[in-house]
Amino acid sequence: MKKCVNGEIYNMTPEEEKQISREKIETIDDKIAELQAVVLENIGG
Amino acid sequence: MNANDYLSLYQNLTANGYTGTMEELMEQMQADQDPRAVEQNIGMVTAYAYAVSKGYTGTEDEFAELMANFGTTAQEIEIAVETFVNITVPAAVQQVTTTGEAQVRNVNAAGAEQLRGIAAEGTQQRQNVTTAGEQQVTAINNKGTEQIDAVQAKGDQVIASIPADYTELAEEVSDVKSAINKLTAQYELISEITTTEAVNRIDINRDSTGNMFNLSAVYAVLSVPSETGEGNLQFWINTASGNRLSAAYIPGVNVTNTGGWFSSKSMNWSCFGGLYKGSGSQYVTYTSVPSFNMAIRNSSCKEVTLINSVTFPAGTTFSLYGVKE
Repeated sequence: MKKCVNGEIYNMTPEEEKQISREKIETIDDKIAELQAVVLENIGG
Repeated sequence: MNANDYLSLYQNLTANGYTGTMEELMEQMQADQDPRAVEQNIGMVTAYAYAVSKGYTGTEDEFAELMANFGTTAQEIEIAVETFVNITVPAAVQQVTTTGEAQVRNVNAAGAEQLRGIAAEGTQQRQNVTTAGEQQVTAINNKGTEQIDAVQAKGDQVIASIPADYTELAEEVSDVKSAINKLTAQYELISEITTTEAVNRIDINRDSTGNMFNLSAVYAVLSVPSETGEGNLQFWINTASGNRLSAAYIPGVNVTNTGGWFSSKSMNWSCFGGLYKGSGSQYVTYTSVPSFNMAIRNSSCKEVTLINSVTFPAGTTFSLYGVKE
């Protein structure tokens, strides 16, 4: 992964990549939660 | 002489001052048979009359006596003049010369003495003036030194009194200025970058001139050129005191709307509870966040970080505005 610092492109540090991974996981979790809510809503409907 | 001659003579005489009668004139002339005597008498009378006409005031007898003694007197005068010229004058000249030379010598001697006196007096006066001048210079120098010391002491006193007052005043001005800036939000463009590659993170800690900054309020405008997918977005503010003000997640960003994310400058994020002080991220349940506008309290922003769980494509523009401290 890469980052832009003051317009310059650098490779991220492992810690910074973990941060992005956590963001992605949480995003996936959010999507799963949203899908579960849709499924439950449909089942219930 | 006939009668007409006597009459004519009488008229002439009376016209020139003769005061006798015609008869007295004729008796006098008849008594004197000598024609020369007559001429002398007539001449005498004519001369006396002429003298009277010119201002002579003596009697006729006095005039006659004067004329009789004239020759003797003239001779005496001539002798007197010769005596005066030949004897008296040379003697007087000699006397004057002798006296003058003596006076010149006396004057010279007196002048020399006066010059010596003046020179001596001048030397003394010059010495007195020099001494007095030196004393005055010394007095002025001493007084000047006292005044300089007094001025320096007063200057030190004034200077010593300035920093505390000035510091207090500067702090008050800074507080007022900071408060005004926060109230009026005089934003200016700090930096604007456009990514040349796809990135997941954007950091800004220098302004457009390459200098560090301290901001009392910030907002950011993000613009992506194409759809990037759906993800979470996090915005950090790193402060000068070492804290991180996390704007938390911005979930559910609708990346299909690429025309104007976060383009509004009117919304203050902190008003929605999205600003937290600390290192932990906070989830914010907005599905549409129109701005990155954040006010910073009791701190200052020295760096901003934008993290996206999906990738920002190349050509993404991130503009940072702020209010400088």
